[in-house]
Amino acid sequence: MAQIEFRQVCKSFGNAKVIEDCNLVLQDGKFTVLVGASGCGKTTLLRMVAGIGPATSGQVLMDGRDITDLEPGKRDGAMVFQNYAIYPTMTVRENIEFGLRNKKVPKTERDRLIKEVAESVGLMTYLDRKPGTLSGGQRQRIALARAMVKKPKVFLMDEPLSNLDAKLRVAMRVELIELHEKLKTTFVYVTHDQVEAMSMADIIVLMDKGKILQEGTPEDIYNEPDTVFIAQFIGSPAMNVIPLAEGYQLGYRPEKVTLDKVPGIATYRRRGEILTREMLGSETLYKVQLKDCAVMVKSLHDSFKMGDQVYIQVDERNLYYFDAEGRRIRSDKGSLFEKCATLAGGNNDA
Amino acid sequence: MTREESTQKRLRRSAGRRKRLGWAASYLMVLPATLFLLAFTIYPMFNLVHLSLFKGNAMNPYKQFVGLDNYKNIFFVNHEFLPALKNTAYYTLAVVVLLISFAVIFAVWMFKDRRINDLAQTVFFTPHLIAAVSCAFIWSWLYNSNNYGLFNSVLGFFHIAPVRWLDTTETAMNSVIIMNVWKGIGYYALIILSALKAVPPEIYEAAKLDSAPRLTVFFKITLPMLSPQLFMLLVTITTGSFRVFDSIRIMTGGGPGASTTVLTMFIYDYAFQRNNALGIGAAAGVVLMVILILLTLLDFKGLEKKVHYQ
Amino acid sequence: MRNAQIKRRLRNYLPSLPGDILKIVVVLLFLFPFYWMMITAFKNHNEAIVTPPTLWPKVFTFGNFIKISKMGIGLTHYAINSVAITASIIIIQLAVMIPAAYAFARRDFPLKGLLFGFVLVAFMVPGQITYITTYLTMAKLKLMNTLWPQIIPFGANAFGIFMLRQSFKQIPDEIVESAKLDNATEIQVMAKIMVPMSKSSMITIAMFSFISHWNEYFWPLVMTNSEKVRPLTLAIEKIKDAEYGIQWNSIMAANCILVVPVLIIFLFASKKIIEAFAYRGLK
Repeated sequence: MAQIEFRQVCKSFGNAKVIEDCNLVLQDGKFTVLVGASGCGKTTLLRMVAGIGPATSGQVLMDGRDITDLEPGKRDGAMVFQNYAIYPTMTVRENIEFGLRNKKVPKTERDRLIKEVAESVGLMTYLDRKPGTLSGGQRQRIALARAMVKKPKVFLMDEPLSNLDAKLRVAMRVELIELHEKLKTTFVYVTHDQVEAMSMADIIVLMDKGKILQEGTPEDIYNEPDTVFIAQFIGSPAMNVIPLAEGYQLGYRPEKVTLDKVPGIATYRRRGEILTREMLGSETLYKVQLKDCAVMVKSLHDSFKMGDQVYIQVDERNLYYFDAEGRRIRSDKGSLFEKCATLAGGNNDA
Repeated sequence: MTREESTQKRLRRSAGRRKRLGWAASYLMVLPATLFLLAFTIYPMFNLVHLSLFKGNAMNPYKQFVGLDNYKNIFFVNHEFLPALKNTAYYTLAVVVLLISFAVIFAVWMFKDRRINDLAQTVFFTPHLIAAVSCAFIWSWLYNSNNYGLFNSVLGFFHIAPVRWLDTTETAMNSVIIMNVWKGIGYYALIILSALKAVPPEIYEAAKLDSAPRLTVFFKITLPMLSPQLFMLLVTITTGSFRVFDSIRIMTGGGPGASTTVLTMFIYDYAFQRNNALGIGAAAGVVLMVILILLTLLDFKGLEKKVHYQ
Repeated sequence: MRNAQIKRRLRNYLPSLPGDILKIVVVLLFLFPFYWMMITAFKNHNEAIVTPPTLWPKVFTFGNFIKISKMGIGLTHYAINSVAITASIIIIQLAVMIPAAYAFARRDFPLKGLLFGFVLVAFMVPGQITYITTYLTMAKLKLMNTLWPQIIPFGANAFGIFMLRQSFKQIPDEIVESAKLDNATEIQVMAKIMVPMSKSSMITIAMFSFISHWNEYFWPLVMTNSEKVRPLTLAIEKIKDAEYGIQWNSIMAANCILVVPVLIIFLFASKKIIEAFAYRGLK
């Protein structure tokens, strides 16, 4: 188990700055997910921990020890790559064994470890096969087994599920959560998929353009986003954001909207017309045209049809306000709402 | 100096040392290859030019500095160089035209995915793998001037008088050319065929839907799509033909007379077989080198075009 | 029902029948020179020069092979030279090629571009340009009565370095990084991961090398002064000049010995070989 710390870390490729002055602590034993759009620097941070992409300046510490320039093989870290990076010329057993051999672990010990790991990921019957003959899910397991067998202090994963089909991905998500429960080591997981981040993380670190925007538990990030960018990044479909006067913006999540045939009593209520309807199974997604904008609504009711006249309403506690720079305004929501309402020339057109 | 700064400095110094060690390892890895290349390719190229400025022999190549006399000699005095150059050019032109046109015809002929075409491709390709020496001996035997030579026997069957294929100045070069076309066709057809198969079939299907006649499809779609490969073949066959030696030496030895003497044979003859003519051979070698360099540059130019084309 | 199907297939096939017959005729014509070589090799001298020629030997004899094996210094001697030269070239080339291709593909160092430029130049410069100087060098080193002048000049296989570098470059970075995380040294990465993953490229390179050096005629001709060090390709000429009157049956027998190893390899791996040549031709 290990705690990882980044101190004033910068990384540039030529003239392009990928990471700028990053300070971050990845807590011991936690499942931390680095999430952000591609090119945001999340993989770069992960590779620094692994030791395969050194920082340009600053320090990386593991349990207080400076590992900035330590060789990757000496770091007690294991990594699962997006394309698995399995050695195609070696059998499954040799793949898992390679790291142990290089560490001069004795043969009997190696066999015991391989057996243990192969059993736990269900590869026992495939040990003497070549990876080329196995399916995507099985290769994923080889990559996992290869990492697990080293009993690393930190488990690094770079979008390990992105090459699997949708069903298998959901199943592997659960398995990874269970694996973390069992091993209790530090997991660092990189993904661009916010659903993956929300479902697996203890801690989410949200990044954009080489900077950390917000870190916190999934609940924190979902309920208390710091900026309009974060609010729209997490959640699907994205939060409705409606421009108010003077650059202020109002936001609410599609799943927090109540849809009705008659006007309600909430502070925020609007009349509109159903534009489109997407039946998702347990829920239905509507696009509703209001007077001056269209919003998305996720509802448990599937009885509304296209062209229906409807009323939407949102509880005040589910309304988010942002200033002209997109920063969240947390204080004095009531007066702001009143102010904006007046500026907009009356709002509740019920 | 603070502790922080001194650590930074130490780190930087050790990073520098690691970098230089890495370079040393890299040089060690490429050293054997580099030595071989320098000794047997790069140095001989420059030295050939050097040798061409001297009069000498294999024992004493730098006996006497003569400047450009050897070049003057081959172009204006020697009676064998220009005919050799002309023979080479004739051989090259004939082989290029025949090989490219036959290669395209054969490739189109073998285009469909059928077992008979796989077989044909394998058979046509076989002579390319066999030593030019062997092919030359086999064909010398087929071309045998006597009645029992196979080709003459066939002619005899139709009551045609025997032909002295390799033994007359009129027929010798063409006979050699036929042999080399037979040897090369399969390989060049294979390259054209691979290029043909790389053309997306949708293009042909679209043309079919536009009800284009087959010849139109060939000239308006197939040939233009092949133009980069055709150009590449043109250069490859030309450079290869300028280097031809084995087959001609075995089949005719340059004769009869000097009717089939080519550039490489001239160089070989002068460099080591004659007295004090090494410099002349070297000068002819430089001429060959210049021709090959120009052709290679042409190839690069063509490659640039190919990039634009796609 | 079944009959109708067969009829339909036949009707679809019939238009291509004349073309197929022509194709088979052309295929047979292409093969004929090799056939003629082989049957001549098994004829006696009188039958070889009979008019009209026989398409199958009336008297089937191995005599030519026995005769040429005893002629001069013996055909076996030439064959051993051929094998020794070809094998040494392939072994030396691989030993030189692997580290060089690795460094060109995976490492950065000053002058890399220039050194790789040498490889590309060597790719294009033929032996007809380099042999005069190489001969003088070998003579100076007093190696003319050994096999070395036919081996060392080919130590660096430019095409091989180029192709193997390509193959090393195609190995995903993640696999190398993964091996580093597995505590593997660079030499282990090269020996246990890169080389096994490039095995098929190396077999292809070795095959090209075998074919071109086994068939080599010009180079041994200019690089040797004595029969003792000459390969098979030069032996045939010797047999031609050895007797009074040209004995075509003996020449064809010697030719068979030169041709058959290549034909056998081609017979077993024709698909692979054709693919490799197509790949090289298109670069």
